[in-house]
Amino acid sequence: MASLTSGIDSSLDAFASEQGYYIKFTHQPTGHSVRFPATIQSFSDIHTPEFSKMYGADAMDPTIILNSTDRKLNFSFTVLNSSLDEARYNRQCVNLLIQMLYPLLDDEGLIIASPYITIEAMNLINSATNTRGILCIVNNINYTMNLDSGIISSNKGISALNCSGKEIYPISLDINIDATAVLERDARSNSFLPRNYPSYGGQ
Amino acid sequence: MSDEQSPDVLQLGRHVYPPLKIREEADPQHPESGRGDIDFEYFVYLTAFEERFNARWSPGARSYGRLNPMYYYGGTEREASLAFSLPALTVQESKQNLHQCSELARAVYGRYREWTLDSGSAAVKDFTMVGHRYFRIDFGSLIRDERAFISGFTFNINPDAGVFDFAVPTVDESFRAELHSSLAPPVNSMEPGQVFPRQIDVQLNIIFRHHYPLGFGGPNRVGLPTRWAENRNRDFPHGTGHIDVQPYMSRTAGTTTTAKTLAERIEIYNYHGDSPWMEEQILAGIAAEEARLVEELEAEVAALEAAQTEASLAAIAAAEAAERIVSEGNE
Repeated sequence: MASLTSGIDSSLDAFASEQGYYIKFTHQPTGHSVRFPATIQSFSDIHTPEFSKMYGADAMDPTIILNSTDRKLNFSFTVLNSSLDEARYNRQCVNLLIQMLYPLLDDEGLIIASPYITIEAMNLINSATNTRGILCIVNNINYTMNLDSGIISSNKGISALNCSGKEIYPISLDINIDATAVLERDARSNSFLPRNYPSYGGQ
Repeated sequence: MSDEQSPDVLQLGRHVYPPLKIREEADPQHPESGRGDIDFEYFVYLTAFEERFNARWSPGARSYGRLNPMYYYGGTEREASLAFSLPALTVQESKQNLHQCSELARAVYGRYREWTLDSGSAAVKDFTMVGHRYFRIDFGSLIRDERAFISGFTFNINPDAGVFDFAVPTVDESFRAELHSSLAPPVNSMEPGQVFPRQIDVQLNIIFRHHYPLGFGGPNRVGLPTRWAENRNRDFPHGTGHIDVQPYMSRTAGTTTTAKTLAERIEIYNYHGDSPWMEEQILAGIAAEEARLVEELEAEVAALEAAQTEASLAAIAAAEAAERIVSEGNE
């Protein structure tokens, strides 16, 4: 089971470690996890109720029925590279994050487990019932290179099959995540939604 | 690689940056249709690179009061947008840039076949679409020899950068231009009425179509469900150079993702260069191909021998029958 931490041993990681500022992703079917320093550029957590309306013959206003409530998360963070070695390692971390969008296959190549991902981000994305973060379906991951910040390149040629040419790494890379929370019900809890849900913290 | 790119660009590119390679290849369903004629290999100034990995989740029925609908996973798509500039220091380079853009623009159109309709007195030529174009794209460690479709091409001229205006060159300028195109004056000396921009901005949209398994576990990783399915000892989706891959990506014994035909193996070898594992693959492919040919040959020989034996037995039987008839006649 792989467990990677982006930016390890960098000054950014030291600060993130001291402050506890991390975003962690865990691929449910395999247990692989990857952690990034929480250089959050944007964050939104949208709770959208879905209503249906029923109209009566003599009533002006419809009867509103709440069917369910969706919770959609959208956030972006930056991955920073200060050296070629760090850029290579960070790319492996980003690669693992991208690979988490792919499922578990059986020996015939058929999908046997969908790519559910648990996301933890301090008190912003945090389960109300346990400390494992929130189970999500990640709809998409956008990978954008900030070329204005410059690039790190290597002209050292080919190492086995791991690259097919010269390497390019951005100094700064934006990752945008668009996810839908799958709300778990804690079987041990008496209340349907805990009082501290969605657990942003604070008083 | 064209020699018409500025020597500075070529020098920089050859030493530091990878070229963008877009090569049209045959329709995998109809390889007889040919490889196509688009073959772009050029050093470009990358101005934007964005990749999107979209998981297809479709929500099922929502029952009343249930917290979530059921979600059904259908696959993950990979798309990329690539923007780059093509600057020109000389008219020749500008022409070359325009030519390369013409090549790329055709990438988003279908492939057509010419056919002739014989309508009595005169043959009428017409064209019919035979399908879209398939490409192999390679761009350093970001796009590594992937099969892809080009879903969009945008061509912009940057007017702020200017164009090469028409002017009649002096004798000295003409002489220097004859020595080498890079010594030509930065004016359009030949063709009035033509616009040769100093900078072109291009955007390409790409849809990837991977030809190897994606996910964890799978037929190449039997009994190893936490390993990456491809089993080729390389990272996905982007290359990470000289460092070792993570253990879950490393190659394990057993089935590995291989090319099906010898031609595919050689093609991969040409792309990925010298590698012990690939050499092993090539040798294994050659050995398998030889074994198959020997097997076929042996089967043919056996069939021939069987046929010959059958024919000779039949001939002997016929001779015996003839002899019997003759001897019966004599008697």
